[in-house]
Amino acid sequence: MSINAKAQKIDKLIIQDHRYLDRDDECFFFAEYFNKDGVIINQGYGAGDNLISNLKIKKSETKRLKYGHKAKAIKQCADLIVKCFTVDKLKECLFIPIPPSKTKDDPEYDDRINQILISIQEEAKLINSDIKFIDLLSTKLSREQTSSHSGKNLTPKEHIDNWVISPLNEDLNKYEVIIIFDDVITTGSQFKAAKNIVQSLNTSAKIIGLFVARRVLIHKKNQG
Amino acid sequence: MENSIFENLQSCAISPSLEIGSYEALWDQSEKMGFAKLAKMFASGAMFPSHFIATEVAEKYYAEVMKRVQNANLNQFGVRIRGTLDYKPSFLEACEPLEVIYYEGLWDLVYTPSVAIVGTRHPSEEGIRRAKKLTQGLIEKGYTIVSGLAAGIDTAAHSTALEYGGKTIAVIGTPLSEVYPKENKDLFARIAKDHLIISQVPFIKYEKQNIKTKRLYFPERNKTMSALTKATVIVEAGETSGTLVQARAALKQKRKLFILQNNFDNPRLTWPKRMEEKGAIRVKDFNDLWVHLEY
Repeated sequence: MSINAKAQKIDKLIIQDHRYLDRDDECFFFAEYFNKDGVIINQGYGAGDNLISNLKIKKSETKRLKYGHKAKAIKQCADLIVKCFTVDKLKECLFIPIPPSKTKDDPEYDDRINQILISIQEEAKLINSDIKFIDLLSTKLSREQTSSHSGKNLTPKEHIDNWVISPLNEDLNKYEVIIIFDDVITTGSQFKAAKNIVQSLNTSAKIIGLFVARRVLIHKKNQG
Repeated sequence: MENSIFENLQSCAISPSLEIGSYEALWDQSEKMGFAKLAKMFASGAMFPSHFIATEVAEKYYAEVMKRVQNANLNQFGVRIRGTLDYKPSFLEACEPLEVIYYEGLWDLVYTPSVAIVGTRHPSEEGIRRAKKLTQGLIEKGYTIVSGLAAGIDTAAHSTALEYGGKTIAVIGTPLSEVYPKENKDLFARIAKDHLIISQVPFIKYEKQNIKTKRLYFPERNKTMSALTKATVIVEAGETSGTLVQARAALKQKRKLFILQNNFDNPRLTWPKRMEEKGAIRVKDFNDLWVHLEY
C-alpha cells in the first residue's frame, strides 16, 4: 500500500509540545499521535493501522507474524518520505539517524531507523540515484526508550554524554542540508543534542529534523 | 534566482498555522464562499489553502484565530488538513470533502468504530427513551457515539454515552469558541476534556454572519457526521429536520442508514418511506440493528 501525504512543519501552533525546540528549529513530521497515559490510542491513517506501534515492535515480541508488520511499517515510512520529498531533492542532503536507545550487544537493540534509511536508499537505487546517510552517533549505555511510558526524559546534554561520535565525519562538510532523522519526536531533546553535535563538527550546513510522527502532549486542564 | 536545497525541501511540507490562517482568509474574503465552492477549488487534492493566500495575510488571520482559541479557553485545540496523514480517509468520502477540520480533544477517537445517533431537537419522551437505550446498547458493543450536540436527541445520546463510560464525539455547527445551545455548556466542556469535539466552521467569518446564514452550518456538519461514521441511526425526526440532510448524505456516501420503526408509524411523516426506498434499513428492534451493523 502506498501513501501520498504531505509533511507538516512543527510551527507555532504545536511547538510547545516539544520542550527543547526553539522557534528557529526546522522540524517536519508526517503524523501526530496521542499518547494518553502511555497508551497509544489508535495512531494511524485509518482504523487499526498502527504505523508507529508496528514500527516499535520489540525484538522480544517479534514473532514471525509481528515481524511482518514491522517490516511493512519500515517500508511505509520510507515510502512516505520518498513520495513527499522526492529522491531528486533528498540526494542533495545527508541523513543522520538518531541512534537506538540500546547498545549493539543488547538483546533489544533495534536499528529500525537505519532500516528505514536503507529502504529509502533502495528506492533511490531504482532510479539510479543515491541517498546518503552516516552513522554519526552510537549509544554508550542502553537505556529505556524515551517515548515509552517508563522512559526517563534525558536532557540534550545527557544524550550527548551517552553518545559516541564516529570519527568518520569529514564528509559532513560536503552537504548544504543535513537531516537528523528519527521515528518519533517527543521533547525534542535528542534532536537538539544531535543538532549541537553536528553544528560543532560543521557550521555551514542547514540542519533540519525529520520525524515520522510527533507526540502530542495531552494538556491537563486546570480545574478550579 | 534558484531555490536553495532547503527551500526545495520546505516547499514539500505545509505549516498548520498558515493553513488555518489561509482557510479563514478564504472564507472571509468572499461573500459567496461555501463548502461546495471550496471543495471545487481543492478538487484535485494537490492544493492547500496556503496556495491562494499571501503569507502575511494568513499570519494575521491565524493570530486572530488564536485569540479566540485562548479566550474560549480551548485546551486541546488542533487542526486536521486534507492531504496529510492525520486526515482520516473516510472524510474524503463526503460529497464535498473538507479542507480543514478544527478539533478540541483527542483526535484519535475518529479511528474508533463509530455510529451517529441523530434526531429532532423537540423529541417525545418516548424518543428520548429510545435514544438512551440505543446509545447504551452501542456503547456495550464498543462503538463510539457521534452526534451534533443539539438539544433533544443529540443531547440524550452524548449524555448517555458519558453516563455509561463510553466514548463520544460531537460534530458541531458553530465554531469551537461558541457553545450552542447555551444550556449544553457543561456537556460541551466534558466532551472537550475527555473526548472529542469537531468543527468545520471558520471562526472569523462566523462572527460577521447573521443568524440566517449562521444556521446553514448545521446541515453542513450533518454531512461531516455521516462521513466520519460507519452508520447513522435516526431516532425521531420531523419532515424538515436537518437530520434528513444527514440521511441523504449517508445514502450517498454508501453508509448504512437506520430508521427506527416509530418514524414509519407516524402517519404525518413521508420521509421514512422515501428513505427506505433509497436503501435505508428499518429497525423494529435493536437486534435488527446489531445484525446489520456487524455484517
